[in-house]
Amino acid sequence: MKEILTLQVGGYANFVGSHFWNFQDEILGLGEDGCEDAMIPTHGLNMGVLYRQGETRQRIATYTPRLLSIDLRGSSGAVNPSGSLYERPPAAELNSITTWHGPAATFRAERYEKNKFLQSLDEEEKWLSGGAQGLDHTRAETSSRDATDLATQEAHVREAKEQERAVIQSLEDGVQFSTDYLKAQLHPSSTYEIAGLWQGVTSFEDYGCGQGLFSTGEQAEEIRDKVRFFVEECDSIQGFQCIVDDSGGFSAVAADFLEDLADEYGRTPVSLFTVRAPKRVQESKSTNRQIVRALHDSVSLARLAAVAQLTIPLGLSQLATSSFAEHLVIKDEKDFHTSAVYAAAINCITLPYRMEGSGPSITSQKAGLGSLDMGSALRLVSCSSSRRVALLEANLPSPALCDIQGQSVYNVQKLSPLTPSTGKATNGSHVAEMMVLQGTQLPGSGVPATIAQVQESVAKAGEIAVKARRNSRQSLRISHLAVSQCPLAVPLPFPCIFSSYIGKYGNILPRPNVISKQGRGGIDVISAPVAARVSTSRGILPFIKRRSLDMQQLALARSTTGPSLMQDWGFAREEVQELSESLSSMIAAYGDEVESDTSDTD
Amino acid sequence: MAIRMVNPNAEVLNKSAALYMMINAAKGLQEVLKTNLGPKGTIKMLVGGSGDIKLTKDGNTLLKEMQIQNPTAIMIARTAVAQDDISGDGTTSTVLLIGELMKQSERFISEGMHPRVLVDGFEIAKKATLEYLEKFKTPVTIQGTPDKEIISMVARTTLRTKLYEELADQLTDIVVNAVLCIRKPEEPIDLFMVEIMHMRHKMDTDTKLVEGLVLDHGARHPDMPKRLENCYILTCNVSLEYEKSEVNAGFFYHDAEQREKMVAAERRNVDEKVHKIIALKKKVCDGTNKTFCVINQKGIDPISLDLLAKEGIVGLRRAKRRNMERLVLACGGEAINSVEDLDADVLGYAGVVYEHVLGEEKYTFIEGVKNPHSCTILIKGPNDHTIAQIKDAVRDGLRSVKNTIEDEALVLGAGAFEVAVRQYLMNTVKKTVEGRAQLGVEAFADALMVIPKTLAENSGLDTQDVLITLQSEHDKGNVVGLNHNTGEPMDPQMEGIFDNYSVKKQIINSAPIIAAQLLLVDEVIRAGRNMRKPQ
Ligand SMILES: Nc1ncnc2c1ncn2[C@@H]1O[C@H](COP(=O)(O)OP(=O)(O)O)[C@@H](O)[C@H]1O
Ligand SMILES: [Mg+2]
Repeated sequence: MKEILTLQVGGYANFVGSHFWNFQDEILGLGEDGCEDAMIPTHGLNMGVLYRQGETRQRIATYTPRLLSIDLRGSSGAVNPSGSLYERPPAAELNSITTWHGPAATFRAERYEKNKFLQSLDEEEKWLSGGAQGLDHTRAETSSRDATDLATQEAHVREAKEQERAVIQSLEDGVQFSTDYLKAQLHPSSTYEIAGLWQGVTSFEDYGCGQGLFSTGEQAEEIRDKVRFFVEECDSIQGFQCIVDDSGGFSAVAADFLEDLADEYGRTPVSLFTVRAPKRVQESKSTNRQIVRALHDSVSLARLAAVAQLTIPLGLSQLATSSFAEHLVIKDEKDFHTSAVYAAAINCITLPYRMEGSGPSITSQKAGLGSLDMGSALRLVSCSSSRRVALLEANLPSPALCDIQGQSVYNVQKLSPLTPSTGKATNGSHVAEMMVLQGTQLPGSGVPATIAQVQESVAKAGEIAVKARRNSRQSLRISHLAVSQCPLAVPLPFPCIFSSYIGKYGNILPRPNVISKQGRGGIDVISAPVAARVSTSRGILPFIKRRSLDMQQLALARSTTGPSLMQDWGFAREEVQELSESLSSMIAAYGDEVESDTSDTD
Repeated sequence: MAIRMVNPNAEVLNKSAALYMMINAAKGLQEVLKTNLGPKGTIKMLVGGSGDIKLTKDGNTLLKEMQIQNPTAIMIARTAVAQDDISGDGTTSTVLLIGELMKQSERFISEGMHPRVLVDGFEIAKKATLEYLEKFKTPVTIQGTPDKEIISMVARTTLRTKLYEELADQLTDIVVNAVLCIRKPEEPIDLFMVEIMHMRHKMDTDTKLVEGLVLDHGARHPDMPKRLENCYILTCNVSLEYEKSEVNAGFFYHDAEQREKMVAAERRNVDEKVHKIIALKKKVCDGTNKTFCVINQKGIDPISLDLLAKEGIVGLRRAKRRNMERLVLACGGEAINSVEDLDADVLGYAGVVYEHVLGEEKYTFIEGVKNPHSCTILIKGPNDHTIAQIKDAVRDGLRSVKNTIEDEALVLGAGAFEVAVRQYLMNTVKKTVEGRAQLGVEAFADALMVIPKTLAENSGLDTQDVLITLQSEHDKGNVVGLNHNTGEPMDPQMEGIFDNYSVKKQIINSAPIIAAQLLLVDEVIRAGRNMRKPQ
């Protein structure tokens, strides 16, 4: 087994994570039921890479994400942070205080109401664990169904559908916490809430707020223990997959945490996605605030990129209006919406780590092609760890193969960046990339293409591109292609962000199927093809350069604001110098040709 | 969580309004923590928004669990939490004292007195109190083997403010023995060498001291023995894991054949390391009744486990980094980083190594060690919040023992010290002070009474009566504290009620500093501006 431990740090990272785990949960569901829908082929994924097997004290087997999620106190909303899977003592015992015979007082925080979705999960759980009772229930239902006429049956179905829509609407209206829509049950070791800081109460908006938090003895020790719990179980861990909200104090927490992790598990690869929500309000015009923001970004990148083999920044400042959202209706102010997009991209690009090993023969490639372990993938894309930051482009849903002169071709041009402030990759520079296509469809029909068809059409696209560039300088391109026949299985609590041009299988229709401004979600769209590409082309340079420049001009400037801020954040002048140098050398790794095109496309 | 203090007004306030806001915040915090104090205090159960439970009798934990927004309250809470970090106890007392200093000041300020004058008085009183503490403290001689009796007293006093008596007394022996076990003469005590392990199981009274180590993981091979006796312990930090990532992907190699070769070479490399360990095992165990256990900080993959299991060796992987140190202190031997260093000399020894399984949780006990310098306190309890509370108490107990040994002194508790200082300040120090700063000394002296007063109040006694009785006994020259059961004066020395010297010192040091900062609020701000002027 090539286990992966997923680490999620910070509020938005956990929003993304919840969607990510919902995707996995959906696949597990497919596996169990067998694929009812012929349009969704077998997934060919080794779920054990992401999940762990366990057992409760009552010897009930469990299957839970191999995950550690770190967040502020109170961020788990209505869901108990230590989960409900591992048995709880009976209520009476919970409430009795056995350690003190003197007076006692109880303080109750206002209880968070579980939303309709969480309630429906609870009910399902009850029904499943009801055992014999549950069986009786079904039998009764079947017999009554036989007796009743078609009309009542239809009414039942309609009612169930309506209920489902009400549940989904409750998510659209009121997701507050990342736990509000998470289907997966977590192991008690999977969550850690930072003590003394409160979701929505404590300000945690920049690097300084998180500085030093991880290093305080006890917290670090507890987090280490949780990581160790999962790693010890692994027979041969392939890597740590980290999603970090780097918009605020968590970038400091994550940098310290990952540094500590590297200390302990030196040779285990670390892949890092930094994620952040779109900008909600116009940034404050005050110069001071702007300096804080700029330095926050610079310091975060310098520190985080140093602790991972490869850092992939995600998070457009405007997602809804970006080219990525061509077929989506997203509300930028809803984290529930925007995080789903990043989760889909992360899910797609990491598929090679989980694909069943594929051999050279056609039969072994039935479900997927191009399985690759994390370490190799990171080494490839980072050009053996010299280029530390990569950009990610993706498509959701990814368009069907197109017909060019009677040949089906995959249109690479359609991919749009989810990494902010990227520029165009110039010709002549060398590029390392990994591209993953999942559930790609044949033109028109929404019918899945075979692996071979996809592979061929990508090759065709490559040929065409080479022809088009014939006269310009040839660029050296190292690339890895992975193809999975299984599309993204869209879970029920997926936000309603597909436009009305999107069909049941995520196929793009020539005309809208309903006239509605409302987006379509997990009820109407059950799967979607996704494509993603991660590359270390020079397109990432504007992103790094901006931060490098800010570090030089603000943190090392003669003025007081920048330098004294850095001091507050715990950096001595020599350390600032080091950070600044590490950013410069990061840039140098991409080759030093003069960049002709650095236009921001964010 | 449960207790929420909302920032009443975040806008800029004028000076006197700001001052009263601060006083109110300090009083508010005092009000919340007051009931915590002492052996008759109230335990608090905090139930969070999702039904999660925290149980605490400890000011420190309570402050960390509260959602505090008011900046003044945050400042006080930080000081109190720092108090705990530095000396390990006295959080509640610090908050109470800061609150009381503010209360006393309010009286004088409303009569038109300038805060600066009060603060000057505080400063004088604080210095005098610290000097007095030097005279008042009870010296403890810690040469050779320390007097277990007296060390136990302070641990018992602390633990009885957190746990019911029988449990507190049981834990007293545990923490005292634990510290004595890890203590090395002439070296600072490193409490990290006491491992605190917990098990959700059975009763709190099943908590025990294990002379040796308890690890929270077990062997990962079904054929490895569940119990070994007379066992060599190999502590190492050597990867016994085949790191296939280097060789998995075809594109790094010219052809499949080359790849195959690399894979085989890597595997052979790991196997060789395992065989070296097995060779050592054979050398030291063959022909004896000795057994062998490998505890590795790095990974051990299934093939390596299999090789070890075939030789009857128990192999544990991914041990805590800190346990490398503890293992060596407990079992002897040396931790090695390379198989080149394998040698009979690096092996430690344990009388017995056995596994205990609870659901998916596995524990490995390493016991029967010779002359251990590391040990484990194994906390048991029926649920997580009970375990967490006992753990907090155990930490307090350990700190109190360490403090006593390092301070070589104790302070009489139950309010005795506070009353004695008050008499000293009022009768001796105040007279030496000129002008209105006298009132600052008086405010400080009166503020100290918050400790005996609150102890009395929490015991359901009449606070006035208690204070008067205590003070008149002190006037007569009897150093007494409060018997919280009867309300009568008692001799803390006789009853064995002692507090840590360093804890008291820290309280006396930090409370007036914070109070001063709060009282001189506008000066603090102005000072900040002055600093930037040279620009
Ligand atoms: N048995 C006792 N009788 C009277 N006072 C006691 C007794 N045990 C402890 N105390 C007093 O209780 C105070 C400590 O209470 P505690 O709840 O531990 O608060 P803190 O957080 O300030 O340490 C000390 O002033 C100590 O002298
Ligand atoms: Mg105490």
